[in-house]
Amino acid sequence: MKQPLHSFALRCVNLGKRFAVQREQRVWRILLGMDGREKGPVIEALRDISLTVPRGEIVGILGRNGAGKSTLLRLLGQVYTPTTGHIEINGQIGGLFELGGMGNPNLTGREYATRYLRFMGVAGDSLPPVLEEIADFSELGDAFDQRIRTYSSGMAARLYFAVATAYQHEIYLIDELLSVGDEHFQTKCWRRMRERLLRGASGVLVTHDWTAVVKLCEQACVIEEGRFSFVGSSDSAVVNYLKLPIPKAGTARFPESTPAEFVLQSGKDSCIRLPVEILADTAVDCAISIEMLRVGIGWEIVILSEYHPIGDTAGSYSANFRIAALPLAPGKYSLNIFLTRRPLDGERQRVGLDCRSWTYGNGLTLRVEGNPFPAAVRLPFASRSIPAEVA
Amino acid sequence: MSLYVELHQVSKVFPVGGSATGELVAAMAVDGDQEPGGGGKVAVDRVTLSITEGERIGIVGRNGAGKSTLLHMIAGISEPTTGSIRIGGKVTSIMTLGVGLRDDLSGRENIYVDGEIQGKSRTDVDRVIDQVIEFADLGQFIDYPVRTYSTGMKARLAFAMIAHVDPEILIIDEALSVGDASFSVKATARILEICARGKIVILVSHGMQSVREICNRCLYMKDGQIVMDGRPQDVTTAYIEEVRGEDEAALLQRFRAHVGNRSRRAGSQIRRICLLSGSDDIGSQRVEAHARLRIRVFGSHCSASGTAVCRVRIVRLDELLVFQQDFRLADYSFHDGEVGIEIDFDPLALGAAIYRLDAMFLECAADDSEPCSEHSTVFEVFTLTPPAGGRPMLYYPVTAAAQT
Repeated sequence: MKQPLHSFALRCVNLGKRFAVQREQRVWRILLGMDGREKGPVIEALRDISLTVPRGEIVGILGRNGAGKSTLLRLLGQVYTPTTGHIEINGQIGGLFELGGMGNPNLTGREYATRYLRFMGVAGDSLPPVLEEIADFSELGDAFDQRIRTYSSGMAARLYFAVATAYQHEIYLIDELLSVGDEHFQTKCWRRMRERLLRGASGVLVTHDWTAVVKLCEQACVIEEGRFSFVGSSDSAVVNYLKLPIPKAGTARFPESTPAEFVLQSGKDSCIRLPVEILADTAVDCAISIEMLRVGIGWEIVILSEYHPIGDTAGSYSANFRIAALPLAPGKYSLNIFLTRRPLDGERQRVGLDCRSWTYGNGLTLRVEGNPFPAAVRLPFASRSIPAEVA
Repeated sequence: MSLYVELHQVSKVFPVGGSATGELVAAMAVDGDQEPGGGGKVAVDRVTLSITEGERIGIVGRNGAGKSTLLHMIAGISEPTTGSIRIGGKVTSIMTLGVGLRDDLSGRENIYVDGEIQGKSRTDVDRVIDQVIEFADLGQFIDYPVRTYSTGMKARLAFAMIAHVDPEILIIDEALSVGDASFSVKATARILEICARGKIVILVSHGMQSVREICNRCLYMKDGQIVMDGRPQDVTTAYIEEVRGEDEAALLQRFRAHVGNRSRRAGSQIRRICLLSGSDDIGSQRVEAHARLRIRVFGSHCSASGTAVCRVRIVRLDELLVFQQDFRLADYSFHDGEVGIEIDFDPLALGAAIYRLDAMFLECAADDSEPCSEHSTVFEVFTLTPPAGGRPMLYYPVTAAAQT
């Protein structure tokens, strides 16, 4: 068996990238040898970026527009050369960014795919089945043999995604890619990325969509103004990235005595009792959500309640949320609770008064006990035998 | 002067196939009698439309329905193949944000250049430039050349510029989805403000919510034609219904890899799975959330032992197992060896998604035993009233009561 030589797929140390802000005639300066020392204003797009991507893992990089995400991906993909630092790569890289970059819109989908695959070293007999697979995955139908410039942008994105992931690369560099096409197509994209991961691929996912990061990455970094402001587990990275302001809790609040953990029995009628204090006369509503958070594997809201009225006047209340035959499998969940002022007529946004949620870094835990069962949830049902004629 | 946009029998045909030379020759032969549908891809098909001042039009439709092509023609980016477009007023378009920016100029200089192109004097621009810069929120980058910007930053600058030139006829193609969440909130608010000034706005969006919030008239495009024109609430609802209602055959076709039936052992076969949605006995691959769903499995299985079971599984298409139950065949068999099982979910608590339903006959319930026969199909749970605040895995009732 072939042993991997390195435990990491990709590593960079003290990476930095500066761009000279030359006004004009940069080409002439270079040709005349005047560019030896960069003078004048310089933008430091990235600095002190150190990152190790372990084999078989995708590391997430969260950042807002202009934080340096795309620059980093271009450095890793060797589109740019770093100003400082160095990059080590162990494996073949497939970029899922700047898609279509090598495409000529006059090519047909099939020609584009063929060109890409040849470029990646797929040739001869192994080519046709991969092409078939791409045609099928991209759901382009007859359009696969028409020119890319007749495609809508969604169709082109589907083609590019299908082509870039058709072939198992060792390292993927992904830029926001899982937002291609409609919902169902996105599900397919997710499944495919998971498959690639299971087969040992590694990668870097650069995005401002934090849900993608919690679902795909165990580790994540937050990038701000060209440097990593946080490196750690993805759920903490999300808290750090969102920096959601916790409401002041001046009007109503969950008191200190709110339990940090609730324990319920799977399949049993359940009640979650939340203490609520209303400090000034206000109409206050409360809602809960139960989320399954398995960092690097999945994040999902399982149950979401509506807002329920708690009270209008100052005082101590207990908000009792009842769930009949608790449909959750045994395990650990995160419980999020929200207090808001009841919206006045015409108000579209609820004003938050207090909350406990993992995205704010102060979430509660819900432990569900019971005998384990294979499915993620417990759906109530009844069954009976029926003769075939009935149908 | 009042603003208007009028389209009369407008079509756009893109040539398909043929060689580049052939196209060049065709383009040079100025004959002007190309007919729509004559061997090309008809992106927009004889659209007649009249928009008057104060209308805020939303255009909805599937990918490839011709929405963007139509916008491009109204914006003057491309010419119609046939038909005529008359426009009263100045058109400002936000298509691919940032295309019109000059790379070597700084953000600030771009704002002046763009102002001049829009026919504003330097003093006019001076009046709004601080607002534009504040809105774009680029920090020090505003004085750096645009080529140093990321895509998102370019989009922000371009949007800020357009939003402050007081457009007469504003065309927006999906631009609201650009940028991070906080910017898109700002952008939406800005668009609402522009709309309030009574100018014409044409918006293409996949987000039904933004169409409902912003527009007062909505068009539904399909295969290059406008198939519906009316109030946003009605049209978007009809659109969602129709998209959802698109052939169940198409659903099965699309996920055909998940649909199948096979028997590995003689005498064991699952003949049929049917899904009955709602209270009536109509078979359906599409199930409304919160409604009742009955699953019926019919087949036959000859077994020497009494341990045989039918295992029914529901797997969401991203491989999340949401239901698994074994039914002892002995309890659901008839004297002729036929098996019929009805599983009744009343109501079905699953959230909106596509699911695969597997039924299999096993010799015994042990987890590792090989199924003697199996049958799979695909169904979709949909909802017309998605809850605010997220898409839960389950639509499960939570009640609450408060006590002091």
